[in-house]
Amino acid sequence: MAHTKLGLNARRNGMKEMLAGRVRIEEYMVQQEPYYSPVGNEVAVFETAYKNRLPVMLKGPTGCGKTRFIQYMAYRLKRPLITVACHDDLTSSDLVGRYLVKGGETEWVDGPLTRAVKVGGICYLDEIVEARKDTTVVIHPLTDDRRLLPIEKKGEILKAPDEFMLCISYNPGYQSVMKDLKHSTRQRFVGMNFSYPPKEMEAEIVSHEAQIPKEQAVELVKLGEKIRNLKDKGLEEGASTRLLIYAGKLIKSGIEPIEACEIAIGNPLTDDAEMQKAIKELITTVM
Amino acid sequence: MAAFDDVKAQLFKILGQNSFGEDVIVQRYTGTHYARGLQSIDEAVPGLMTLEEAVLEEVYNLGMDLGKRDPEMAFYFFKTAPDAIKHFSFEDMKQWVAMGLELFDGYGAVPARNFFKGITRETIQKIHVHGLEYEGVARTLGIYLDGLSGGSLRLEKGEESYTDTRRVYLPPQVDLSDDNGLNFKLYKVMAAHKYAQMRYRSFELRSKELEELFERLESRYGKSASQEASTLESFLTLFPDRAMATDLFSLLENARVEHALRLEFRGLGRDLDLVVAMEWGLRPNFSKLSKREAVLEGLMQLLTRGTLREPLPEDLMPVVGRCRAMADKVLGEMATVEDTARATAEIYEILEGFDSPYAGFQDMYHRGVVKPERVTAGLRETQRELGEKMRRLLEDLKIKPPPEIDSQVQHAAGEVADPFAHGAPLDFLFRFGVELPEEIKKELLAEIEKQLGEMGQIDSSLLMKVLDSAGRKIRASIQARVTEFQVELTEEDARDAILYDEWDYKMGHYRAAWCALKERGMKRGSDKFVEKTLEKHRELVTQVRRQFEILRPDYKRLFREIQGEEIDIDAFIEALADIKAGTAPSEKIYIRVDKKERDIAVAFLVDMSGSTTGWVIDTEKEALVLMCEALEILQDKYAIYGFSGKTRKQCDFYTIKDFDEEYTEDVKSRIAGMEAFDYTRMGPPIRHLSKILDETPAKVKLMIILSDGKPEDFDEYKGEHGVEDTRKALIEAKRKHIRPFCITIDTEARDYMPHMFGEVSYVILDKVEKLPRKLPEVYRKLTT
Ligand SMILES: Nc1ncnc2c1ncn2[C@@H]1O[C@H](COP(=O)(O)OP(=O)(O)OP(=O)(O)O)[C@@H](O)[C@H]1O
Ligand SMILES: [Mg+2]
Repeated sequence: MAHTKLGLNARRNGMKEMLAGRVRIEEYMVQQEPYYSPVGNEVAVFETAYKNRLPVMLKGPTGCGKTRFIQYMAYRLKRPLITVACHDDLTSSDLVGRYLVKGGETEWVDGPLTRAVKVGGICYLDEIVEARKDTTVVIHPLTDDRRLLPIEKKGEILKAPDEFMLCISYNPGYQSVMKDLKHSTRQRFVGMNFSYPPKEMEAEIVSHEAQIPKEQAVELVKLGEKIRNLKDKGLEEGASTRLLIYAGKLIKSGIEPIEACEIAIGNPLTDDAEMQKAIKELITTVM
Repeated sequence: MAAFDDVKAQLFKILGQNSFGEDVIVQRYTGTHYARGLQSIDEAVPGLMTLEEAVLEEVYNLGMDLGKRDPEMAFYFFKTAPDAIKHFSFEDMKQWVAMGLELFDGYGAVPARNFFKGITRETIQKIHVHGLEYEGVARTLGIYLDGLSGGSLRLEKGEESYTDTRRVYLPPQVDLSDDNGLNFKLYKVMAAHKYAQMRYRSFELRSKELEELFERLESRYGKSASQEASTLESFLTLFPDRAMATDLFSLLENARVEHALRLEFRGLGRDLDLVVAMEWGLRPNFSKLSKREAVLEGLMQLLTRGTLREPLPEDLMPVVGRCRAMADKVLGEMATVEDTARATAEIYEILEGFDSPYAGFQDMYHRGVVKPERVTAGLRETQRELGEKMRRLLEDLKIKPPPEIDSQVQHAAGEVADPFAHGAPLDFLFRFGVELPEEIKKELLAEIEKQLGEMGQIDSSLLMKVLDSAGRKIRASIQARVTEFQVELTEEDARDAILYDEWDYKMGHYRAAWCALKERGMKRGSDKFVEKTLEKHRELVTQVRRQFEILRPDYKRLFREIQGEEIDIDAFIEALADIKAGTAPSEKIYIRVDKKERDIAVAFLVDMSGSTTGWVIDTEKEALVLMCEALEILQDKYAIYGFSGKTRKQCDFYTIKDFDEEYTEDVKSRIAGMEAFDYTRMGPPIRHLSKILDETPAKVKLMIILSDGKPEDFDEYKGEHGVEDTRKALIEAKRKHIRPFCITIDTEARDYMPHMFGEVSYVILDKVEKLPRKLPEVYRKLTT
């Protein structure tokens, strides 16, 4: 308990630092072109949504490149990107802003959402289902054609400039009834589906990200493919691109390929002992 | 050697106390005796002191695991360990500990403590039996094979290791080594080898490429190729000695397949080396073999390891050398089974030259055997299924299948000789004499391309996959026909029944008061069923119980509450700032420690239609028993209902357990009494259950439906109509804030489930056996 509370404070402190304005907006500009290799026409689709000022929902299994895509798009559109990782303690003031006491004075500090609206940036709410339901509603007026952000405490209403865009991500895998996205929220977004990149490209990506030779990346992808065969047959999710990259990175740093795969792919995927053993056998088959 | 005090200190550290057991007073006719039950940890020390330092370390480690569960059990372990080491290797020790832990988990501390008090002969025997049994590895290897093949091969127990192209059979036991780790490797390699035979197309010879060879063999031996059998079988039948030809073919084909396997799956090479090394010593000596047998043996050894175990008899050396050279082409990177066939014929001729008896040749154990008739049977099954799938696709496309289609599907089943004899694979698919629309063809071709990427070569199992997934897509975009057939509902039928509307998707409206639903009691079944189930799934029960223990409501600190025991500093400061700034502060500045209540009501709705007879319903029942165990721990509100019926006149709704009923013996015997009845009209029971759930107070309401297939009734409630009405009933449920979730055991389910259940609210199981494991898992996931 003490531990989580500490973690929470740390998180809040981080947030405060940002709220207190110590972080400048330039820092939200994506400076370097992120490495992203388009799988289909998602870039064009996103740009169209942006031009039409439509909020976007990125759907797809974990670790398939949603976050990377958003970074890339922010770079392309030359907009600052403000990302909020949602968690179940996230309050609406965490998004909109709050008063802080500073040397006996109070000072209003914008939250990330407000900030993104003001500067006309892209606000990315990652894993939106994790947020409390009462938090999610603050984005409602922003995401219909009014494009407004009410700041209740200050009695203000901000109108979002055309450049502003709201994106959320959502993993439609296996959701708990406790945390489903409300339809009134869901139906405010256009949905873009993501899935793991095709084999060839995935090998390219793994090789690039982990800085390992292509042949090695091909092996990892082959393993990934075999493990993804197990989805719905005891595994809820197959091995994500991210996990393949992790394994690649471990290998790059000198860890034995088999061990690297076990650590990065086998262990995280399941706790079922027999399943883990079967995955281990797949690993020792491919690697 | 360790000192007394050191050992004792270490023991104390692990066990956390100085003595165990208790003193008891025993009444005997000789008077009152004081029996010394209390034992000091000192008693364990001397024995441990005799152990070598390194061994002692390991013993400590094992004891630590035990100590975490029950220090007293660990204490007895330490007392007995020095003795155990005399009987057991270290691996055995581990198994001994594992056996004790199993007892502990299954039956509690007392039997486990007793287990460690000494070593019985029985224990020693159990541990010393080496070898692995199929049952012990089936699940792991089943998953492994699923992973490799993407689900196109099923694992089954057989008398030996072979495949019929659809199933992989593995022997009941493998005990080549004293080390079960190695035995497992052997099992694994066997499975991988069968996968490889499919992957590299060992069984579907392309007759077109072999025309010349077939002709030559026919004229040479005067036998003709059968049109009934698979190309493999008819090829082998062309030889006078079919058994020898089969052995030779397998030997060469195994070499090709294993070579390809090593190239594609580099890791497997290691395992192959291991098992080859293990089996190498078991190969027969040349002196024990006839000349023909010795040639095959020598050839196999050379192909496997490049060397011979022992020198060949002088006179055979040149022959084996020649055979080896001929076999070379099967090791080429692009070698196919056709190359193997050609090499088989060539080497067969050489063997013929020997005047020698031939009793048979056994390739290495891990390669299993080839059974040509089983291959033919398997391929025939696949052809029939392909024909059926094609016919269904045509039906769904509303392309009137040609009248001959039935005989053609029949014929297809016979036509296993070579599905590809007529040209391109698509021609094969389209041989039913119908012209398919261009876009459908395109879809099929695209799917073939995609699957080729995964499977490498076109064969029947690839075509199956193509028809499955392309068919799914195509079907999703078209509408199926519904046979119109309605049944009258009389006043008689409606008496004592609750009437529910039914959705008519064609007319776009409800048919009012259309179905007559009656609540029925469930008859009692065997009172042993629950007990037996718990026994059968003992391990799983323990596991599920443990998992659900964790979910039990516990205390949680809630931040930003109106009232509570502590002040939420973050919120408080924010409020202060608000006050200073002159805005209204929030009053939510407390932390409340609260029992996180799980206000959940879940109802299970079980499909008891005729199709569930036997296996399915029994497994559904077992799963329910497990679920009840779990829910009793959680104390979530739950109810169980079943449904079946026939036409809209008779929708039966069986109550197995109501929400306000306890999990009594009565309930248990009702679960046992569940059986399969008639049809699956899903709409009415869903509507009825929605009503029940609606009247049950709970924050979260869950309806979990167990079914084995599409909604279907005797009347028009079929196809689109059934799916649409069910979908509507589910939407109605959702409007009542009920979350429906379906678990189905129907491999065709992917076609209609997404539409019927919305995107995420279902899982499809490929095997019923998984249900008892899956159901609690799903529930756990859904509610955390
Ligand atoms: N198309 C792609 N181009 C470049 N990199 C990719 C692509 N797809 C996936 N990746 C890589 O996969 C990794 C995981 O991607 P990312 O973190 O964006 O996943 P995500 O979809 O946001 O996952 P989550 O839902 O868990 O947040 C990244 O390291 C990224 O490099
Ligand atoms: Mg992400």
